[in-house]
Amino acid sequence: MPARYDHQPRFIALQKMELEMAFKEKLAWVTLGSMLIAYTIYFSLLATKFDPSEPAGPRTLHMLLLFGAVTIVQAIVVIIASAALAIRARREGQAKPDERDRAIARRGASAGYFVLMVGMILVGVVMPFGDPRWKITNAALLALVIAEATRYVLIILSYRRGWHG
Amino acid sequence: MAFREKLAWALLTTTAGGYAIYLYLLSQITSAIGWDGPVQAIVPALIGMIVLMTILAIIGASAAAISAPRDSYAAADERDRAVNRHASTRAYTFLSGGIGLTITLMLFNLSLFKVVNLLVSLLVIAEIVRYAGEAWHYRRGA
Repeated sequence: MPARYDHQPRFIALQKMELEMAFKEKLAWVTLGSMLIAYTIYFSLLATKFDPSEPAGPRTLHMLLLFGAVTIVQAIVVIIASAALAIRARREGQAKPDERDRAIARRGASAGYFVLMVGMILVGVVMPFGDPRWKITNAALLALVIAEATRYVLIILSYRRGWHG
Repeated sequence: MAFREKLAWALLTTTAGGYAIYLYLLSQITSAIGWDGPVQAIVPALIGMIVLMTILAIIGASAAAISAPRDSYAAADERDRAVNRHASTRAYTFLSGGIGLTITLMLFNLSLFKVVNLLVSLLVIAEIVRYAGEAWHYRRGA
């Protein structure tokens, strides 16, 4: 077979995987993906565009604008992708979460809670005694993003591995 | 009452007690230096709360274990894990919402003294929400 068709089996496998996925799992993939991209952009821009050596750090207004823009774009992407998935999933998209969906959601939130706790102990109890305000603000945001990412990763893994609660 | 329910009640009481002491110490500090003082001023209250909570939690957990010696060695079963997940989910919702609010307030120049107290309060109240949720689920028979 010519080399240009080599990607086809992988594409078919991905399509099959997508068909086998539960609606909630697809939503978790979309949210996790968009969140990781959005906040990678935010923290990269924060690290490269602003001068961290300045004692005051990046100006609050600039940080706020960047954060607002990234969050709004991410929210729009998630809303559009969720609507598209719901249209494709038809009945499953309108169905209420069943017992397994709820158990998986709680499992994800439970793991996210402990990650957030550890992050907040660092941000709220350790950092204020030596770090500037802008770093504390962004560390709190990073802790929230890591906790949410953990939650979605666990939700995806639970669906993938057939966890039943 | 099951061992884990007793443990939840014990930890709920000790955490709330430790937090009440912290609030009392904080009120003493703020009456002296106000709400915009140096963040180092709350270190004694913070250490006092952590030490007190740890001691009270050890006493509470020991009392719960003595009252149900056989149960205390048993690993958490499916119901215990489900109750824990239920309660942690509520605490997570509270904590992430509170942190979102704190980040927003920090962007609008809330003093560091207030930020630290807000974050410490969020951490402690989230744990109170979790223990209260566990106790409530055991009572309700979830």
